[in-house]
Amino acid sequence: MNKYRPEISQKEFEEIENYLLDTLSLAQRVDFEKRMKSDSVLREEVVLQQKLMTAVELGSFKKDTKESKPPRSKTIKIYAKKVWLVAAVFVAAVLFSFIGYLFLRDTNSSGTDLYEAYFYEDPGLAVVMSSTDDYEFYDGMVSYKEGNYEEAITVWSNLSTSRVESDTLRYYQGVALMNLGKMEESATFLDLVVGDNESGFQAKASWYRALIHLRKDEIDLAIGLLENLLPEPRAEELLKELRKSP
Amino acid sequence: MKLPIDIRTENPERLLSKAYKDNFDWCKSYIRKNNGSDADAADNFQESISIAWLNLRSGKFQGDAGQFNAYIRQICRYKWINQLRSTASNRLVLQEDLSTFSELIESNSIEEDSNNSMRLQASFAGIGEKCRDLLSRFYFNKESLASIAQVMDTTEASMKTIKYRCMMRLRKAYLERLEDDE
Repeated sequence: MNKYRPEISQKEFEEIENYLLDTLSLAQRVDFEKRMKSDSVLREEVVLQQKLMTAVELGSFKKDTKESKPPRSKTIKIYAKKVWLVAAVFVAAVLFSFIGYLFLRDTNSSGTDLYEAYFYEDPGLAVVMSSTDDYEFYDGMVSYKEGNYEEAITVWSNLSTSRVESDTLRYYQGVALMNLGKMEESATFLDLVVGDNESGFQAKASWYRALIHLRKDEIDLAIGLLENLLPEPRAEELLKELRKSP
Repeated sequence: MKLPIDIRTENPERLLSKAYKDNFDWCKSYIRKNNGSDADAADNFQESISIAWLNLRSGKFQGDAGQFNAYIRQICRYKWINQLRSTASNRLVLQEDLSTFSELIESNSIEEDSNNSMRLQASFAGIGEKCRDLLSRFYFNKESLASIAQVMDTTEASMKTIKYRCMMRLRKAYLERLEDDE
């Protein structure tokens, strides 16, 4: 018979979790550790909960390493079951941006206004790779997803100077730079993908490249790229707005 | 002086991926040189990194990233030698002996750690896909409850309760396995 209760209360669970995840204030932590010293049951519960959290980490990592698909082709594949999620986030982002734009716009929208209204950050890929190069790319993707774009770019820059040259890499280098506001450098990477007819990222790269043109008020160049994306709804919508602009 | 790994601030996804990248090829090469296949190497490495991670999390291992890599490699070697020694036909081809593992590994505890790691992973595997997904997102991928709630089309408060219920399910599964093994 083991020494643990079958369950603990949600309050007790959350208190231990906060301690283990280091989200307690200094005073709360000191108090919690004082209680642990005198309460052996609490100490055992902390150890058990730590083990359960470790079980999640190990189970998740095992799942990732077994289910992962390396980018052997030019384009990294997004997990099929996550496609709907990416699509939903994408649609929501565009819709939200557009509602914001409608709310804020004035009658003489400039390219910059439209850029602000339609720009949203690419959420990144939920992928894990298996070879050494893949792991370096993945390491950068973790930073990207954390919003640490500079670190992601550093990791990916080292990768590109060694062996990996892929449209995926170029695309994410481009959008990471764009998220940092480095439009010129971003355009250099995105142009490579826009010009690659075999890339699965060509449409997304064209969209972001068009937004960079908008930001610089190069309306005709933006229109040219957006027309290639038709009948994609967001491109159609943005084109309508651009054609309304004086 | 290199700083010890701080498990409270490190991202587990990143740390485990790095440990995998730094050590898998080494472990595979070692096992190949000692009569093992790639499949043996994959199984051995998964177990070795799991044991090392468990001990890092519990505080049994303390050290910097370089020492953690050395620790994983020691476990890989220890487990493989142990496996070969259990097969009579392989006794003569061993290039090392288990007595070389006194520094980082208490060899008598490795098997116990291995059993505990397998017990924990089997418990996690048995809690249902929805719970696994939610817990992975929160504890491993470090997604916020608010963003998970949005994806799962519910509220943050509900998500908090669901997470608690999932952890209690994991607790029950683990305690049952622990009792069965005792």
